[in-house]
Amino acid sequence: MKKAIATLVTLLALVGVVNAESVKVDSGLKKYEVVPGVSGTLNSIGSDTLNNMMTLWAEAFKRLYPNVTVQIEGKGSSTAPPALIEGSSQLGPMSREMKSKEVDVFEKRFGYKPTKVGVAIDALAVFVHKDSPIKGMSLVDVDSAFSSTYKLGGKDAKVWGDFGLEGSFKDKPISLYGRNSASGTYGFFLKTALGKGSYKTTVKEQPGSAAVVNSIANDISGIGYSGIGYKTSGVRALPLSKSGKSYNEPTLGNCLNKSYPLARILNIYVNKKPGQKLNKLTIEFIKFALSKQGQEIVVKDGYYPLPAAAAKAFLSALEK
Amino acid sequence: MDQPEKYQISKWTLFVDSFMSKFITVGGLSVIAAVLLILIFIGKEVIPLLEEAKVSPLETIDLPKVDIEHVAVDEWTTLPAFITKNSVYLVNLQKNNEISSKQFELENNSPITAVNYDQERQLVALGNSKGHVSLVELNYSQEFLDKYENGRQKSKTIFTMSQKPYLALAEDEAKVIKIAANQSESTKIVAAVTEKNNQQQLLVVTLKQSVDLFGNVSDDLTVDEKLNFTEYITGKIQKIIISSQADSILVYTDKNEVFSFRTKNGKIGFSQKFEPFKDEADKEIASMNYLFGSSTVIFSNKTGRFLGFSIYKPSEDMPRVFGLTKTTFDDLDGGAEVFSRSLRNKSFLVSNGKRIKLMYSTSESVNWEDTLDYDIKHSIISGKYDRILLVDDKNKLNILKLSDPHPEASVKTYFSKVWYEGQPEPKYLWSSTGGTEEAEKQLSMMPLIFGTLKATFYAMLFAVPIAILAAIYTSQFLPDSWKTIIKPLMEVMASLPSVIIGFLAALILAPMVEAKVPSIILVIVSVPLAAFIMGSAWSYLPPKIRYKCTEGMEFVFFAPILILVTVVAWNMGPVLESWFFTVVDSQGREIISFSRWWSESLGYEYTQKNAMIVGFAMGFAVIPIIFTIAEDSLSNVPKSLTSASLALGASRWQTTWRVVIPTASAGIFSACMIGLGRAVGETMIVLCAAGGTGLMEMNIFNGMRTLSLNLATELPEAAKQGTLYRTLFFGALILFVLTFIINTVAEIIRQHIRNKYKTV
Repeated sequence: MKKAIATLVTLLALVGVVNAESVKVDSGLKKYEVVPGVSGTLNSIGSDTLNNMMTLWAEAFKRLYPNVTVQIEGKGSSTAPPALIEGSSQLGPMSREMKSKEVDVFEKRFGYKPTKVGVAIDALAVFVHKDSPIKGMSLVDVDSAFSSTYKLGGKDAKVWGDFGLEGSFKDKPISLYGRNSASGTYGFFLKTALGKGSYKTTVKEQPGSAAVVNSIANDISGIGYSGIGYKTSGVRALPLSKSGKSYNEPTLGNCLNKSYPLARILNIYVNKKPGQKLNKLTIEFIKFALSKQGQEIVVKDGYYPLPAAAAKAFLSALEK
Repeated sequence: MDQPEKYQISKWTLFVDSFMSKFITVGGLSVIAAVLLILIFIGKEVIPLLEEAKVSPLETIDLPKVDIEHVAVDEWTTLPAFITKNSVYLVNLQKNNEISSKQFELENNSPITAVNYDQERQLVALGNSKGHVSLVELNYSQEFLDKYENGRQKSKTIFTMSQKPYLALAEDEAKVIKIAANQSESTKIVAAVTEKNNQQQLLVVTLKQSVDLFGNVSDDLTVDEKLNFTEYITGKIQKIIISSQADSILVYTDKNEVFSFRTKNGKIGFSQKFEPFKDEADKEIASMNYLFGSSTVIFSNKTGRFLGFSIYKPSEDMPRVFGLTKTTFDDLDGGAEVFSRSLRNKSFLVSNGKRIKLMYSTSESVNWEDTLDYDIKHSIISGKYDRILLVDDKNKLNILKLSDPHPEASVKTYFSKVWYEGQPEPKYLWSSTGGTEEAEKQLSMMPLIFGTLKATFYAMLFAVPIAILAAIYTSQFLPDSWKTIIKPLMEVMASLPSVIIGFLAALILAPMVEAKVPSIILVIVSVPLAAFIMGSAWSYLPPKIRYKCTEGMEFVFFAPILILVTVVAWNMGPVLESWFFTVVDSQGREIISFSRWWSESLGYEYTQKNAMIVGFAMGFAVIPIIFTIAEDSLSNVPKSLTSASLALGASRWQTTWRVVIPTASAGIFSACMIGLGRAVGETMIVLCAAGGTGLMEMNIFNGMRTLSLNLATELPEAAKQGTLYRTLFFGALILFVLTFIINTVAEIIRQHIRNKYKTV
């Protein structure tokens, strides 16, 4: 009995530690206030990384406005621009920035560029199996593991011993997992962690972020990348450094001061006519996402909230 | 003479008869029409890939008679600008080509002696006679009007420029004679050649500023380093270029040598010296320019040869250096006097005198060429790759419309090995989305075709023997009462959705197989061997015992033994593994693991989702199809033939082997071919179990990327009418043609076999 209590106390203490470390939203964020006259259907097509968060926002938003329906589809960031252009969606969540060719097509149709609204911060994490002894990696190491062009100065790494691991891991081949090419995560990782190089052909493409994490959890020599929000107990997010051995954990603070090198902004793109306001439903949804409640949902989903100043800047850009 | 009415065929029967025969004809024809329509639809999406670039003149504008150094243009091609040593002249195409100008600021009244313009960053670098340099940013923004044209909101382009910082680069106040500058998000680099008393110096300054996560640049631009690279250079510098990531400087000298300086660990330093035309008759460099993305540099010499150099890692232990990768560009007499690059793809425009060519680096092809009626002095391709601006020797600006929607598409990119940027050798690669615009699109069809054939091969290797042997056994040896159970069961198996087979294969079979490869090998070898031995032994048994068993029921005795053999073989697997498949790790310990042995002793890769899994799973989907059709054709062999054979004293096996199989061979063959057709186009199973890696190895233990998988994963995300979209349809066309060829060949062979055995 005593033992059980002791375990319980330890567990509670652990929870306490986790809570103490957990992310708090910026107190400067405004609380969302319900406004009258919001109803209709809102469509969102785009990123898989943002899919959970969009769903959570939509649920909370529907609780505030029972007359609103929100439909969400998340197959990859590349699906967002065509849907915005064809008008089949009002919100285009993307985990990377829109490419200039995609902007070109949009501009050709409307004459102006789409408007970007940052809604959350993501630390793109490099995951390994929970029992992997590796302490951390520099981007050069990541380049060595994933790249076939070694633009960041890496050199071919095939076994874990190439990163200085000893014991049973020394000769274990590195098993690479990644996302399919429609994903913004695929593009962002390629751009930032591989210095715009190309992937090895041996990277196993998975259809979703959760699939990457699951595969690594089942493969002791696995390594892969995915949004921090998809972290499970079977995997470990590696601390990273740009170069050298002073690794930084993917925390909010490290993301904001850019010492964690794979931090990025998750965006929602909207079709906003210059000089005109967005329609009420769309703008209220975005206001909600950038509010205190909305950013608390971000934290709940495992991503990091925006600082109040950034949220304010994004909102004021929409008011123009 | 009319027949009595009761012998006449009723009108209704006649009507139904004629209606049905027409109906069936129409039905058959519409099937053919539907197939043709699909082909036409696919063809319609593919054909525009063949289109060449179209260029047509739009307008010509007279410019003031000034010494133009560079042509600049905004991304919308509304405000072309001409940069001289003192000012920017703007031509407002939205306002009757009105020309205005803005002067650069002079420092301590010293004249500007060198000027450079970078289109990608809209950055002008200036150097003056006192060794000072400054940077000018050209900013274009849009002011939107409440006017619309075809649903597009019209706008007015506003131009502003900001000049900063000013730096005293040369301490000895030497005159700047050449300058280049570029910037990335947080770094700016200026490189200048100064001259004093006929002494040249190469001076470089790097500036840093901080950028936060949201891309907001702070105002804290500070000088990071001032460097003097003169000591590395031999000869007089002809040109300096800086990469768009601001991490690499290239210069070439009158000795025709190129010196490369690159950033390593945040510091820029000397990296490499090379002579681009070392192996050519004419060694003189005429031009040197980066392509979009700054991974490739294009050189030309006076004879008009073009060579492309890319940065790659030539071998494991060497750093990334420039190496010759592109040698088969078209010539242009006199070399590239004028050069401009696209900011959307790997196109570049070169001209000499009146002759002009638009070339594409990946495919090394010429997309457009022409001889104009004026001498070209400056050229620029607009940011959106839709206009070409040319300035001639009479200071006339010619605006041309450019339409080149699919510059990447060519036979070479689809079917030949291409030396892609950053790769150590020419390869067949598929990678349609590079993450950034600058990445070179890799669109080789070869890994996809190879993957399709590989998956099909392993599936057929597994399915054909099992299905055909099962069909022969079921139709010839099994008692009818059993046959009526087995056949429908197999047909139920055929109706299993492939997505379920695929998921079972990927989630259950793949991890299980990884640990049990030796067991599987042992089962595959020992079960047929055991069956063979048992069959032989059975025939030696005294007839007394044999006749106790009803004919066709022998399997009752065989099956338990085969199951026993399977169980024993499965459990012997680890023993076999410990005998043969061990590797010694770095600490001298022996590790028993087939997958490790495969990858370490043989040097092949072992991945969980591999061709063997796909072969099993796809075989499972194909077996019932082959089985059903083969069994039908075996059962349909006329009873008279088999009875005659048996009556003449032939055994059941002799009858089957000599009479039934040859007669039914055409049917068995078509069964295999229909199975093959199914395997070639199968999508869900490969999607789940193949891993999608675009490799070109026959290795059974790694994955593949098939045409159908590629189509299924990439088509939903491809921009409509884009190059990728059409290329994916091209893949579909290849798949279509592949199945068409297989079916045609199969039909020809089938007819041949049928004719051969017609007499029987």
